[in-house]
Amino acid sequence: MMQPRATIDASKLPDHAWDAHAPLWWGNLLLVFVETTSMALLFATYFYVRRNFHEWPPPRINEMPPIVHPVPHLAAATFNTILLLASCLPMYWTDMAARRIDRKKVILGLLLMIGVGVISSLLRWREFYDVHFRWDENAYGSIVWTMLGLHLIYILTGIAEFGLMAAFAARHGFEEKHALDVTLMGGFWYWLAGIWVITYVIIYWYPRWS
Amino acid sequence: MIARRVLIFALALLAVGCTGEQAALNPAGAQAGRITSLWWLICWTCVVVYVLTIGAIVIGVVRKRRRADEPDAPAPPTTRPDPAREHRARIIVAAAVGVTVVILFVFMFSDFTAGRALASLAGDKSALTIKITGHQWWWEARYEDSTTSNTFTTANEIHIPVGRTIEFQLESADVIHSFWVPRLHGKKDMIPGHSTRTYLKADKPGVYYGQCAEFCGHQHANMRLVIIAQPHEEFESWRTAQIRPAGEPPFDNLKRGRDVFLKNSCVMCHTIRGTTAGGRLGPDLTHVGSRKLLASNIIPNKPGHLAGWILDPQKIKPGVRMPQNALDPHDLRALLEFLESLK
Amino acid sequence: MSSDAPNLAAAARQVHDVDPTTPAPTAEQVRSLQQLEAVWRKPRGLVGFLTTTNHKDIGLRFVYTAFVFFFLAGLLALAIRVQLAVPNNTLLGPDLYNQFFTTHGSAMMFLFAVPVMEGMAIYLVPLMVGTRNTCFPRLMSYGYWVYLMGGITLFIALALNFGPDMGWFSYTPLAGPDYSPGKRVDFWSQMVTLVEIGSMSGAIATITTILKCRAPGMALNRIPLFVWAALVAAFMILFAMPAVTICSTLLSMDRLSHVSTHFFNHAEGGDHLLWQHLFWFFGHPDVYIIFLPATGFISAIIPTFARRKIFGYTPLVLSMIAIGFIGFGVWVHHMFVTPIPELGQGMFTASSLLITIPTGVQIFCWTATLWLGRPWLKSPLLFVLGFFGVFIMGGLTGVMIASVAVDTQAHDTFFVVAHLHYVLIGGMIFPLLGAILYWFPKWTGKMPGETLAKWSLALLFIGTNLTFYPLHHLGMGGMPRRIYTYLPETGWQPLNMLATLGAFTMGIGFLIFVINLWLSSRRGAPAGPNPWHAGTLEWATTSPPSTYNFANPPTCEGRDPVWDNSPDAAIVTNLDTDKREVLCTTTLDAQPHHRYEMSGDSWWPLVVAIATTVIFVAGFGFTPSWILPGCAILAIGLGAWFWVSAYRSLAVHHPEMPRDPRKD
Ligand code: HEA
Ligand code: HEA
Ligand code: HEC
Ligand code: CUA
Ligand SMILES: [Cu+2]
Repeated sequence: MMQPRATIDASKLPDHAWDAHAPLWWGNLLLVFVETTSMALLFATYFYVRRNFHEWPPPRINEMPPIVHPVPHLAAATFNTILLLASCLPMYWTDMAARRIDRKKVILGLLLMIGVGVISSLLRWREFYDVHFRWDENAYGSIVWTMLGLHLIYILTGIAEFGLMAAFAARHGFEEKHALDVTLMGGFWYWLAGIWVITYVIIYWYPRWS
Repeated sequence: MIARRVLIFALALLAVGCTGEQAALNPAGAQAGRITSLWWLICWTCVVVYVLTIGAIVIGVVRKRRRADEPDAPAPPTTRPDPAREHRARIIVAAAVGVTVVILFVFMFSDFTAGRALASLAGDKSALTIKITGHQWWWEARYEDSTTSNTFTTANEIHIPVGRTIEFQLESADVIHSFWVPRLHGKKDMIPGHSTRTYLKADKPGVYYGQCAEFCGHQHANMRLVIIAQPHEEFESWRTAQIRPAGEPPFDNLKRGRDVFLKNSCVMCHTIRGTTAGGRLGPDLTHVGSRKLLASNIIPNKPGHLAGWILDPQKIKPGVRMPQNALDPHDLRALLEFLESLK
Repeated sequence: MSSDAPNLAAAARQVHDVDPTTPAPTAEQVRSLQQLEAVWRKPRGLVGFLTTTNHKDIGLRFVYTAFVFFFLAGLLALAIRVQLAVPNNTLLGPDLYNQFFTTHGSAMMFLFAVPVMEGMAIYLVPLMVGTRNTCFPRLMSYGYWVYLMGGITLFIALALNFGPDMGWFSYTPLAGPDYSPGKRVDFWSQMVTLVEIGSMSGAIATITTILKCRAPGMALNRIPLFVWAALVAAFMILFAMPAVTICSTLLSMDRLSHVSTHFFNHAEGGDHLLWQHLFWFFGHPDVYIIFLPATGFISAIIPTFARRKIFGYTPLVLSMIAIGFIGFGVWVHHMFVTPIPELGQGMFTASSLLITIPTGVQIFCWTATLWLGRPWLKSPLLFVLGFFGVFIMGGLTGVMIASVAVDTQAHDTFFVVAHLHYVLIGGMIFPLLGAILYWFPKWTGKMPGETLAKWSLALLFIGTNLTFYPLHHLGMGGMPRRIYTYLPETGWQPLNMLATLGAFTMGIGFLIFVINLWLSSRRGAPAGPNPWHAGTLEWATTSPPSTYNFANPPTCEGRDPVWDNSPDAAIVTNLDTDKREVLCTTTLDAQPHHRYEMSGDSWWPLVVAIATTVIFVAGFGFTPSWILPGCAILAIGLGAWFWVSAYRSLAVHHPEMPRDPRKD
């Protein structure tokens, strides 16, 4: 008989992990890479198309009254920006509650976030009208609608995730393993707010400066 | 004997590329010449690199290969590698990388200088300007002139004077095409919404073939182009002839041919200056009789071919933007004579 | 009960292959092995086929499917070659020819080259890093289903005479609504979107597995080179594929009659060069996504058959990473003849030449390994030698056309067609076939036949050169690519005829290769766990591996653990055997960190893949009204996907809840 060989006894190790130790965290990060690349490519498209126009946005002349410099209205978008940035706080709070496995607060926080998402989507609805062109009128309209639209898809995805998580926690309870899901939703939401700030500056402020 | 024949045949095959009538490495103009010399520099260097690397690999493998009589299941490598040999290998690899870097610098530098040389024709004030518009699947050529009455439009067969810089302004009417006459210069894409230019110069008189290089749909294969470089006087007389509109036909039969043309759908698409035909969808036919080839230079300009084309262009170029025409044989004959008379 | 016996014996053997003296398993061990076996077993029959999430099933499935598409695309290539063999040929009209070359190119690039490499990575990575499955098995299975749907879409379209006919890079305006009415282009762009979604899913699973599930001790500087290659390629997929999904989606929005955006309509401010930039921003990295895993195969095969460790591990890793980065900075070399400022073009010449350096480093390190070792000339190594002969040629023609001036002549001619086939066939087909022979014993347990393998190699090597060498001359002789015919006066016929003969030679070579595999899988000699006496961890388990790969996951004490590990190297024990549990290690130095439960077999990936197909093919391809229903199914599918696994992990803590360990 030989010496018993050296072993690494896995049963001594925990059965879940936080943050960058967890595979799911990486999966989420990689998805965010894909989404960031997608948004960045749309930004590049925006500036590429811009070179084909003398005025940006192009003058609106096919409807009365004509508008010489039809920059998109600021109000709804600015409010949306503030809302999304501010919503990072309750998101953070929810995340912290999740880490403490505080089921009630998590559900509350998620419901709050669903509210934020819905309001933000409604504001986005308004924003589409604040662009003075439809998507099929010119390339300016096409790219701005697409940027707003893709970001809206992210918001809707967020709402769906929050809803699912809240429903699950309400029905089956909430434990360590699900806390990570909430943390990851938080990461996604911060990203969503951050990328929106860039989108907002590009769509709403860049035409005012140029 | 047979071996010799095979060798000669093989060499003749491989000469395609360096000798053909449409061969990029058979230059007839300064631009193509410059590219050819750059080409050979890079090509021969690469041949040497290829021989050296493959040689090294083959020697390395053959030299110490495991022979057939050795046991078929070698044990895992246990011997520690010899540090001196490892060190030598490291130096050789580093040197090879160093040589690669040097070669690449040479390539980059020679490419930049070639690029400069190619761009040097751009400033030439005495250039002749020809505007080429690509259409699915033919070429419209408009010769610009400071006197508007001297500008004229023709198609597919482009005459240029030898020794003079030509500025081609390139545009497209529909999809992307690419203007390419290999013996004179490299190609340039014609992208809708991005008009561009290319400059070239023919060193000797000759007929230079080319063809559209960017895929543009069904008949991309048959979108051929001819540049005929002529001495100055010949070019001028051609040009004077092209500027003239078609005159009143001298014979009845030709008149009848013209009327057939004008009464049929032809007028919707073709222009014949000097008549009421002013269509812009197809090539200008004012001097179609003077061209050597038809339908973007794929069939000879002979009455039989022309008749075949007019009756059923779809058979010759499937998908072409010209419809079939059902013509009475007498009308057809008159039409053919009329078109051939447009010199 | 008795059917488990051989498995157990095998498992006992594999506990450490290097150490045959391992004592017979105790009753306790036998029980936990039986449980392990049960937890990882996939359901029988069709249900198992549709729901499996085992990386070996899915990886091989990717490989088989990709080869089916390869053969179809290869048959199209034969048709192309026959059409071009003689001038004025009327065998295929322009319409069919255009569909054929577009489908050939698109299928080879999107449905064969990238997926087959992903399949190999999915199969090999978990074995090589010593774990039981890839992370996110259901995501990976979803990736396969969308890929399959995308591929089927393309070939059904071709069969119905709806095949795309605008070239594999689909330049606008030719591919736009004005010049390509009908649905041909739409099938193409939906195929592309689906396949790339599949690639990204696979890439996410691969990266996470590599970063989190490596055997204890397999620090970054011990990761096998193939795994490095798969890692870099997967990262490139994440950053390159969005470009092509975005641009094909923008194209379909331009084309959809009720949407009609203007991204690629210059009359309304859109831009055709924008398409080219977006496409090639994907297109160029794509060729390295194909090539890098192939270099990984080579780095795995050469040390085994040179009988020594790889020379220059660190430079090889750095080269791959460098290629990964520089690969994103060269795309404009596909646009050298467009109206782009000259200075910009010069920069892209420089970066295209720069990328040669890491490639050269790789070639030189492999050469040095061969020099320093004692090459054992078995068929996998011979295929790698074929790679050198063909690929270096293609790489050097790449260097030639990286020069703007030269490219103005070579662009869009058969010279480029020659370049691309030399690099693709040399750079991916040869290493891939070598890799298949190399790992064949692992996935079948049988040795591949040597004689037929050598014949197929000889025919393929001769065939490749016979087919594609003449195309260089044709290209410089003025023959543009994508022409369905040419005039006799051009003098291009003899070389074209040679090329056609070469194509058939290649075809016979592939046929023999396949026959060889088929014969070997039926009556090859038994392989045993490590027939080539190789050094990486996939050889430390049975051939073929059990569904859970390792009864006790191994640890790693060097770059070639089978060679380097001391006889009493540690193993991982006491992972839960009542669920699909693996060990997660830290990202950099692979220290044991926690246990992680992998999800089980599931229907939801298939459901979600069908929903995705509805959204894209029906919605973006035909009428937008399909998008909403598609999204509804998608949402339900994803919801269920999340819900069942969350519920399942919950049940672990509440044993009273009913639960089937193999399902969720
Ligand atoms: C596996 C795929 C693959 C690989 C690896 C490469 C590698 C390279 N390619 Fe290629 N390429 C394609 C696939 C690939 N390509 C495809 C599919 C197209 C056509 C797309 C289409 O239009 O349909 C294309 C087209 C293409 C073009 C555009 C042509 C045109 O349309 O006009 C260019 C131009 O620069 C180019 C360059 C290069 C270069 C510089 C490399 C380099 O990476 C090569 C580096 C390797 C070597 C050089 C050999 C080994 C090195 C040494 C032995 C060291 C010593 C070397 C020297 C000193 C030079 N490629
Ligand atoms: C991985 C990529 C890959 C591979 C492997 C191939 C493989 C082949 N390719 Fe392809 N090719 C491309 C990628 C690839 N190609 C791309 C991207 C394009 C550009 C498309 C575009 O312009 O849009 C292209 C374009 C292209 C053209 C140019 C068309 C044109 O521009 O007009 C040609 C012409 O010769 C060609 C030929 C071949 C041949 C003969 C093979 C052979 O190697 C095929 C060998 C395979 C088989 C023969 C099938 C398998 C065998 C059997 C089923 C057995 C039965 C057969 C016999 C017994 C003979 N290819
Ligand atoms: C719907 C438009 C249309 C009509 C009608 C039409 N053509 Fe054409 N024609 C074209 C186009 C487009 C071409 C260029 C075809 C090509 O080469 O791809 C062409 C080419 C030609 C050419 C060859 C020109 C050259 O330089 O190579 C001739 C000659 C010609 N047409 C004569 C006629 C005659 C005669 C008629 C009437 C009986 C006619 N066409 C009717 C569109 C038309
Ligand atoms: Cu015009 Cu190709
Ligand atoms: Cu490239």
